[in-house]
Amino acid sequence: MTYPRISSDAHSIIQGMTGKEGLRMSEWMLEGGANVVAGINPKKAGETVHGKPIFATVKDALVHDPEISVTSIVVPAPFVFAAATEAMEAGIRFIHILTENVPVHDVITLKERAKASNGMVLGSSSVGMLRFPGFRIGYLGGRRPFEQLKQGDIALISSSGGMTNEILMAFARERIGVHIALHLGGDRVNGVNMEEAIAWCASLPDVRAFALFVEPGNPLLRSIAQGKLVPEKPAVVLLPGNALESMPRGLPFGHTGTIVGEGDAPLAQVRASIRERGIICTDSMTEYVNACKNV
Amino acid sequence: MKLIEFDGKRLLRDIGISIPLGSFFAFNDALSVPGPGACYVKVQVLGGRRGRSGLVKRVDGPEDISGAITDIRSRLKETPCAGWLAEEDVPHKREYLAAMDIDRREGLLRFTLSEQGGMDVQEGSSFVLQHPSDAALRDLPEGIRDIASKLGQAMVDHDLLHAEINPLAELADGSFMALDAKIETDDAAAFRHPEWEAFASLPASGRERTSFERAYDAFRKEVGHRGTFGNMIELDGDLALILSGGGASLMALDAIARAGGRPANTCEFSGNPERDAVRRGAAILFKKPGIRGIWIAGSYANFTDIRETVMGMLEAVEDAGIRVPVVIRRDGPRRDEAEREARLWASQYGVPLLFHGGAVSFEASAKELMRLVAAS
Repeated sequence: MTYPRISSDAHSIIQGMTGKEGLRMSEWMLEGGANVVAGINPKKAGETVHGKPIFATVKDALVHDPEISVTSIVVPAPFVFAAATEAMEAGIRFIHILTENVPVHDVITLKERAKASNGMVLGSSSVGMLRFPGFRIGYLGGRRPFEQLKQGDIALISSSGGMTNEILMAFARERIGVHIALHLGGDRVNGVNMEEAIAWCASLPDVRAFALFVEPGNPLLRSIAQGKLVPEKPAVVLLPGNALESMPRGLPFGHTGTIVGEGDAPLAQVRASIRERGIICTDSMTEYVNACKNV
Repeated sequence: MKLIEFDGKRLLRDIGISIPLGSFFAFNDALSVPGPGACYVKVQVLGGRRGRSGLVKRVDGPEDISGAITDIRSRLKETPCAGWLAEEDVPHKREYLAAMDIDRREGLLRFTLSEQGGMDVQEGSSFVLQHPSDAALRDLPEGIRDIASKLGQAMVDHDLLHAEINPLAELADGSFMALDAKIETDDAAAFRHPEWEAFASLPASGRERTSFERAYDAFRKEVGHRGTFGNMIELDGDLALILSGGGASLMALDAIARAGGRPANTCEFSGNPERDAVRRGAAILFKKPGIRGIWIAGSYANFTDIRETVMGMLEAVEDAGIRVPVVIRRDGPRRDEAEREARLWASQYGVPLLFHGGAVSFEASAKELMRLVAAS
């Protein structure tokens, strides 16, 4: 497929910018150098937030600035589907959804529609994405990511928002260079899944290797272990969760619903079969960071 | 939410799938039977393998019901139960398993059919549907194609995560009937399903919960932020854990196990929770008898206010009235203020406290906690 082009000066909007989350996120994004050009709220058109205009609809914002190509959605979960649909219908191809607890069938439909129009939906429940030299949507990387992080050639792809940042900060301390970092979202179905994110990042000429964070039960593990997915570039996988194996099986763990099912193979075995495919796979952060340094 | 058989079957009936004649009764109500002949008495619990566990009984007539109930009650013990289902016995010639799920990898529906349903299910064949209505076009036996289409549409219309019929019975006349139902709804869609309030499944929700877990569940329900306060599981150790971040919680749990620590619980406080809610939730965890140490561990936060959350947790230590070592491994927004205030709090309250930022690994932080606990 053809992917949406995301340049460092991509013009972004925030749907829900006037809410508590939107106010804070837009402040961070602007401070970090993101090119947020407007916000959307049908009830607050004509107002401004951090000096940026608020429009009633995405189409109105596009009249103001036809170069808008990215949106971030922070509206409450019941309104996410309508907001994303509005953005797609207005022609926006890259949609980030920060909101948590979006019904899974809403995400499935959005994913299907995005695919049909060569678009991408990052999330729901995604902390965001950043890409050197200066693109950011959402929160990843702290307040001034492009000052704190080192530019390089690793693509960090993660199913955990907190761990994406944890790993970015470890990379910053160890001076490991990153080109792009993506948090795919914590929900059952993500608009962009691990395999699609790997394929997309593999197509980026600036990416030389992958650093992946995967939680137990993610379908990617089986795909790699069975040889159905062979990353085109070197990869390092951090897969924690040994402690889950001593817990009652089938119970959801934490807010993201990670579940160790009755039929799942022990994690040590999963790691071993991934390593057999020539991919470094570990449960230790120290080993992971060292491997990423040398990958 | 996982539905008990009775609720699941009502949903199937509403979408046009036949179910046996039967009635639902509260746990302590007297059962009346659907007719004079043989029937099934089925206790309405969420766990699987009810047949094998003796929780479903076929009786020859009304006179055998009370004996069946006594026997089932003795096997049930403390398992949460929503009531009973008394149902006609339906003669049939064949049993299948039919299930519709969400394929996480594809982000699409997946239909599975096993040619042998019941308690000894064989490996089935399954396929992904590009669209819920695709089941109508598949090469399936005619009656089953109809069932698959209805299940596919119900997944979307009723916001289901899983819909399984096992056994799906083929009757002598070639028609099909659902003899059991395992259905799970998507909690995130509850806002558009007011009808879910009427489910009889609610009292049976979850696995068997301990009283400690139930107290925490009540708190979560009251706070109403599923994404912020994750599920809490009681464990049999002596370290109270407050973890943050889905993935980081796994890293932290592995680290404490490697350091030889035994957690009293797992839980997760994520997504910038309010200080007061943190305080109340943490106090429940700290009040568990026998706590010897507290570990507050999370990833380098994207946007969580570290000062507010950490101080809410330390207030909860006072609320619980315990004096045990506290190790904090957190970083992110307002971390320096959090560290300053936490140290001051510890010196005033009189407990050992270490504050580790993001540069200290989960492993190193867990080891330090174990050292302090051993020394206290």
